[in-house]
Parts: sequence; structure tokens; C-alpha cells
Amino acid sequence: MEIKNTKSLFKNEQRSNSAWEGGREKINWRKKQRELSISEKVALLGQTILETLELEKIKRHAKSL
Amino acid sequence: MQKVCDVLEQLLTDGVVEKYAIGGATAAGFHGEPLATRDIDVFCFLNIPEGSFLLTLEPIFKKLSEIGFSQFDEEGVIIHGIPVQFLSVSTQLEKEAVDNAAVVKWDTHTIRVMTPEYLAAIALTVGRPKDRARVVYLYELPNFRKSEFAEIITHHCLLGKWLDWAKGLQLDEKLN
Repeated sequence: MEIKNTKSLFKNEQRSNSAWEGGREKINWRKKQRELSISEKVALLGQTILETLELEKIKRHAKSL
Repeated sequence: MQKVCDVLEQLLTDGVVEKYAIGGATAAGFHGEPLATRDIDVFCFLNIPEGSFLLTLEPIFKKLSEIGFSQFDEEGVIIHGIPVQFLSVSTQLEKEAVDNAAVVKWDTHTIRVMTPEYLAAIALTVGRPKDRARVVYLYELPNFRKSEFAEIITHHCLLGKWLDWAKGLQLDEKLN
């Protein structure tokens, strides 16, 4: 029982570490996006729209299966 | 996307639209990080022929068709593979947002985007769940000018709505 608890504590710690890392990555990613040049930013906006459309297409296809 | 900006500028230089500015998620994404969206919302003032009482987007579609963009999908006209939705400016707030849009130039290109403060004010008037999320996102941008936003929402009688939203969204309602 004790071992189980330790394991679960360890797992929780791992989870919280990965959440923290994820949060930090997200902040860094946001910072990077804000530092892009105008042409890079404009290109990225276009790419985001195309990727969103592609994702919706995949979702629609998955629903139809 | 760069090519889409060029087409929008062409509509302006050819006099098809009097003024325009990109709004919605694309504009919001321009000021921070890209946000998921399916199209580009373009708010425009149309050049209405004298004696005409009917406001129509037809001149835009006609011109776009002439330069090779006649394909539509549910979101709008496809320009260089990207759906572009043209919206005629319908409120005083939208009119001001287009009038005060940021004009950003790079190389030989120009993009006209609504400022974060006007985008947030427009989101306040729409009020869908995604608009609430957008207000939070815009408000938290490092370059969000709170005093400018305060002026806009005061002028357009949105202060009460802002106080409600700020409370619900746990934002600092004080704008100075």
C-alpha cells in the first residue's frame, strides 16, 4: 500500500512537472510569436487558416466514417 | 496571405472599396500569436454609386472575379487559397475601427488591421463565448492600451458591459 502511494505521488509529481514545462514552453512560444517580423507574422496567419481548414476537413471526414 | 493583402490593396487603389481593415481572429492574431480561424474578415466601406440606395458587396465580387477569384465557399471568396469574408461596416464602432486601423507596411506590401482596443470593443458588442475568450486574450497583450480602450467603450456606452465581463472573466476592470 505504501509503495503504491509513493508511486502515485511520484506520478503526480511527474504530471505537475510536465504541466509546468508545458506552461513554460507555451509562454516561450507566445513570446517568439510576438517577436516575428511582419512578413513572418503575415505568412504564419495564412498558414494558421489553412491548417484550421485542413483540421476541419479531417474532423468532417472522421465524423462521416 | 501576403498575396491576399496585395489583392485587398488593389481593391482599394481601384476604388472598389473606399476603406477597409482586417478584423476578427486574424487581426487579433496579428497583434499576438496566431489564433485558429477559418477565414479572414475584411470590414469595408463601399463606394456606393450616386443615386443608389442599395448597399451590396457585388462590386467587390465582380472585381475579384475579373482578376480570377470567383470561387466561393461557405466562409467567403477564395483568394489565393484563403477564404476571405467581406463585411460592410454596419455600426459606428466598426466604422471607427476601420478609420483607426493600423497600417503596417513591409517590403512592397501593406496590411490594414484593426487595433487590439477596437477588436476588444467589438468583441464586447458581439458576446459569443469566443468573443469573451478574445477579450481576455487582447486585454492581456503587452501592447494593449487600456486608456484607449476605456475611451472607446465609454464613447460607445459599453462601460457597463465591460464591468460585467471583467468581473466574470476575472480581469482588472480598472482601465487607468
